[in-house]
Amino acid sequence: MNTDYKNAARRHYEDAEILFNRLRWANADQLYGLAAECGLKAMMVGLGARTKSSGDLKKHSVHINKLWNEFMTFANGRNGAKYVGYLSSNNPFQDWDVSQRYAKTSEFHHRGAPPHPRVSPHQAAATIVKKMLQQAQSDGLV
Amino acid sequence: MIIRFQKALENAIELVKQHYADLGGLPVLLVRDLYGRIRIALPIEAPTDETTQPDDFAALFRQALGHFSYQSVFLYRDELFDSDALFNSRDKITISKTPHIDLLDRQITGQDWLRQPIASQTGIQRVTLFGIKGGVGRSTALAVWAWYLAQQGKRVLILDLDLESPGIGQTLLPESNAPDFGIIDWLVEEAVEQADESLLREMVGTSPLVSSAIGDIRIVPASGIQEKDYIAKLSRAYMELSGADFAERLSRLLQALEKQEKPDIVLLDSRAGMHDIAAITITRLNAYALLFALNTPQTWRAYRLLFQHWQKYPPNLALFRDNLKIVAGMVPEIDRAHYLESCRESAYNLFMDTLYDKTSNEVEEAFNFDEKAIDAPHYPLKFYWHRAFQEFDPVSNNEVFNENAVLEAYGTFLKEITNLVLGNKLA
Repeated sequence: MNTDYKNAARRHYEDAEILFNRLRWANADQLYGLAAECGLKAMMVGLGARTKSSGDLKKHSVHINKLWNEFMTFANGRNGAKYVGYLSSNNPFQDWDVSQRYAKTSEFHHRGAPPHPRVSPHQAAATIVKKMLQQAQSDGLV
Repeated sequence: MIIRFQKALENAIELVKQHYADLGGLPVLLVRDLYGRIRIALPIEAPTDETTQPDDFAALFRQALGHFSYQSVFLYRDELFDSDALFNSRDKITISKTPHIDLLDRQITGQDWLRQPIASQTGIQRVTLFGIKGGVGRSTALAVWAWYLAQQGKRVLILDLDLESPGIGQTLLPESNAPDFGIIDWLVEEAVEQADESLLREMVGTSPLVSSAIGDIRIVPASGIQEKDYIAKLSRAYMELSGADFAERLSRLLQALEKQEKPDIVLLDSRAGMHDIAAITITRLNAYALLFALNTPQTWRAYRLLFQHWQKYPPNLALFRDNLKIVAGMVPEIDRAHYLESCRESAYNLFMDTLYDKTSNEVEEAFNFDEKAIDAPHYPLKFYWHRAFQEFDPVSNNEVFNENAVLEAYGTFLKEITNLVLGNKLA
């Protein structure tokens, strides 16, 4: 299957929102991280990062807990700077890991309505990446 | 035939007007990207049945825009990442009311020329000194005016916002009075959330040139006295942060300084030319804007390029146009009357062709003035060329502020501008 970071970013975010609203914290969290990763990778392609014929990035094969800071280093010059300012210089996905998919549901236990102490900051950060993608789409970059 | 940048938007608007009903009769949003390519954003889902797509229109659109079109002419709601952010963007400009067509113009720089002014909480009088071209005596006039105001007992705060070509700090501050930090430091420190009160205090120096007991000149230079990393900081200074564009950051800095210094008046030395700093200091900080000019065709032509942008996209023009005032700088010694008359006429033509309303005088709120109306934005304030103010260096030569030279060159200017800006607040 070919890679389409833009399309995948939108799908992961939308599905994360559905899970979040049903208080399905664990998988919502997983998908916010994947949405942000695909979003930043779509941005990097738009900013000129090299890709394989499959559409995958040649470098940066990491998840969002590492990719956030890699993006900060990658983006440079007038085009990149427009987007760096969107993102917090402290990586909000530092405490996110793709291996969470093996974790027990109770690890994400939270009584009652949002905000969820772990998931809500990831939701906020993924939402900012989404806004940045909208900007980049209007700009003609992605 | 090659379609050039300016023709592409005209053609897009024309086509949308002709085919408005075919497009669903909804408000149309034209999105022009960083390359100048134009798409049509529609607040509906992409049609699944290919036969229902307005293919004929898309083909026409591509033909009419050439390289400034996309292969996919339409941008549908379900293809967007954040449709609210797009359709409700603050930068959306209405370019036609019937039929309803909006434009979202994505730019790399320069968006500040059209954005709304930022409300000030301090209400302190601010004045921007700007020249569309350099070499018009702007900074010298600023220094002389600041000195005059301070001698009259006013507390004057000056910001050197000419970051690419700083100077007013050095003009008015001897090394011994220069502070450790400058505006450039605040900008890089604020981006990492450590623009604290101590930084703010160490950004301001007092000019020793004032002999008044009450008044003073406090100066915020572009850089601190020990600066060795200026380019490294400058190349990061214009960062926009999530939730605050560069103008909002400058506004925060200005308000923090105003609260700390409690000045009677703030003078902003703006960078010359059509730069973002100028856009912000003229249109977004609620400042009275002095537009310095030499009476040359290239000066008026350059102002015209700027004014035409406001004329074409005027959504916020009414919020700052009353603050504009032309200043004829360094008026030559010979045949002054003729020079000034010609200057006034050129300025009048500029305003008439671009910013003044074309309505008759019967409409009360019309922005329109007689050529000879002294209080009109185009009617120039003036100061004269004077040998004493060449090689202007008041720190090492205090004599330059001798009463006669100041009165000869700047007498009328100082009275008129002070009266205009501070009115009867001058003791």
